[in-house]
Amino acid sequence: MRILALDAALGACAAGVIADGAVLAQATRPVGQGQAGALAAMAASVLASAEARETTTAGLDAVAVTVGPGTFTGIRAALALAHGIGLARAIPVIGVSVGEALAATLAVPDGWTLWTAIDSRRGRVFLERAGSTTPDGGVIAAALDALPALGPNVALAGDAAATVAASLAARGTEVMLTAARLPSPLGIALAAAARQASRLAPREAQPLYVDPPAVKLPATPPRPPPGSPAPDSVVPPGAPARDSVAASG
Amino acid sequence: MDLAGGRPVLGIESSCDETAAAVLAGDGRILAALVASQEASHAPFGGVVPEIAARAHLALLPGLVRGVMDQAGLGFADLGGVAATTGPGLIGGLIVGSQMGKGIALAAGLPFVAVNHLEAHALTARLPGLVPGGAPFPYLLLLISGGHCQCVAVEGVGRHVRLGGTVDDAAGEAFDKVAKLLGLPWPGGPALERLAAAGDPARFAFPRPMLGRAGCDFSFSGLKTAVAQTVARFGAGALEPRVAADLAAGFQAAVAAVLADRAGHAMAMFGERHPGVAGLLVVAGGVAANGAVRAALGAATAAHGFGLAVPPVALCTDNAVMVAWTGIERLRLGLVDALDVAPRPRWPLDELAGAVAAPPPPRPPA
Ligand SMILES: Nc1ncnc2c1ncn2[C@@H]1O[C@H](COP(=O)(O)OP(=O)(O)OP(=O)(O)O)[C@@H](O)[C@H]1O
Repeated sequence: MRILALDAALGACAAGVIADGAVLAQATRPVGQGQAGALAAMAASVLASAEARETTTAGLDAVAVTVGPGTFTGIRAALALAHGIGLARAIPVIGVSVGEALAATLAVPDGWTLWTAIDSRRGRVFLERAGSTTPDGGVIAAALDALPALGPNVALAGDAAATVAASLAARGTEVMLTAARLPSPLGIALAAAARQASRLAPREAQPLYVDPPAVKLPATPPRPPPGSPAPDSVVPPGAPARDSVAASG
Repeated sequence: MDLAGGRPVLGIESSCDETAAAVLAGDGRILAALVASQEASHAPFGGVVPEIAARAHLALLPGLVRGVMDQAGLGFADLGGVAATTGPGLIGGLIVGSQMGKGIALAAGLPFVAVNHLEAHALTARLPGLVPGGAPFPYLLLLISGGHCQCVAVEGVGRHVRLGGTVDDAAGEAFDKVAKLLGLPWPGGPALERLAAAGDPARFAFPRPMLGRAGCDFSFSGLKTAVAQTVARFGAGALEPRVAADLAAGFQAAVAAVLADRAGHAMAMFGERHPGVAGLLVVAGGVAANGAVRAALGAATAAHGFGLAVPPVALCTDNAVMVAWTGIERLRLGLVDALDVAPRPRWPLDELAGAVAAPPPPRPPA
């Protein structure tokens, strides 16, 4: 199975073409200004170099893309690109979480639980438990200074792994800091292949936002529409008429 | 050299709160067009919430693109190009639409056109069959939408000269804000017009900002403040229907008068730039749906010897037909964009890159 893997969820953009676990071509670059613009060109170039290396003319079988947790802008940039490619080539778009992509290339000893810690800024982190099959994808949001207990033996990956490891260790938790920080095209493709083979629970190829949009309803209630009755004259249906209430009171 | 080779072009629009896709034949005929309005999702907040819009665009767009391709009965290999709005607008939506367009273009080996939303409004009048005679360059554009309010001399593809614009609110924004003051739901333009139909425009004399001032700039915030002060006299609760209707009619009359006056100045400025050209005023943007505004602009164009072209409402408000058409016009001139072009939330018309003058199309014999 030949997979185009795309990622812009955290601090870098990555694109790669992976055929049955072998990397045919890949490119990574740090996120800077215009990251949303860069990923398409990167995808085009890895596709071109993978095709140049190939002796067969077999096309892509799927597009794999990280859905988060991470920066909304990057996640959407990668997902929209992936959907465009998927539509045009009539191939599936497979979403994988950052934690699934990292776990795919990590071996954690028995008795240890792998958690992916992702910086969500303003002193918060997203924590994703590997192997979770809950509908929320096993992701929780937590304040760095109020981390929940993650278990007795915690292996950590992700861009906030070091910070979280330090906090947990200070509380006496047994912690193992892995070297995995950012999703790799290989990890993304392996996780996608696992999802395709039903070894990972199904997941929509839509962003894993964790938090609802940060919006508040207007503080002052809007003026009622012209001609609507004044609030104190509104009587709920079935309620006793005003005079009868007054009479009984 | 037509880079689309006369083949159909796919257009994608996602710069504000409408998600839209369309496929046009190489000659500009509309093969399929879909628009999903997110109005209901934003209405409780009294305006467009960028993060809600961005999420909705990504959820809706793949289905819309597939939908128009199916309706047109085309595969992606049948296309000659992909055009997507890349600015100006809300960054979240611009990223989604432009990335999806790029993905299709790179996967199907098609040229990609990064469309400026304002240029798309400007070129709509050139869609075949819309304006008798086909709106040859140059013509005058009055763009009056929720986010934009400006007069532009449209002199060629990528060649637009902004003659004037609002110094504060856009015309549609003024309609929406005043509608909110009157207790109407967002977006308030259409509701305000319905309310005004029964009102007396002479009961409240509202100011007409910029009226008669040199140039063709606009200002609406003073008018909005005047309405707010008048409304405040009537207390906090629901307005009496009579009062609300008269307020709406008075406000609408003021906006129509200002727009007609400013358009008059713009026509004079256009005439100086292009002496001897048969003048045409093209109106675009949601406010063009307003009857009082149309009537005032009709009188102004007649007085200046200009023709008036108001495309149907579905093509005046945000849509993807205009984006695909802009793609066709640009590809015909060999204009294409690289895949690493970045979305531009701010992208004034006079900063269009790769601008070339289109050769004036031969005018049909009189
Ligand atoms: N009948 C009407 N009378 C007055 N204003 C109207 C009417 N119908 C729509 N509008 C206004 O038009 C605006 C919506 O138009 P449009 O979709 O072109 O704007 P937009 O979404 O802000 O687009 P853009 O991104 O081009 O600025 C709103 O402000 C709305 O209130």
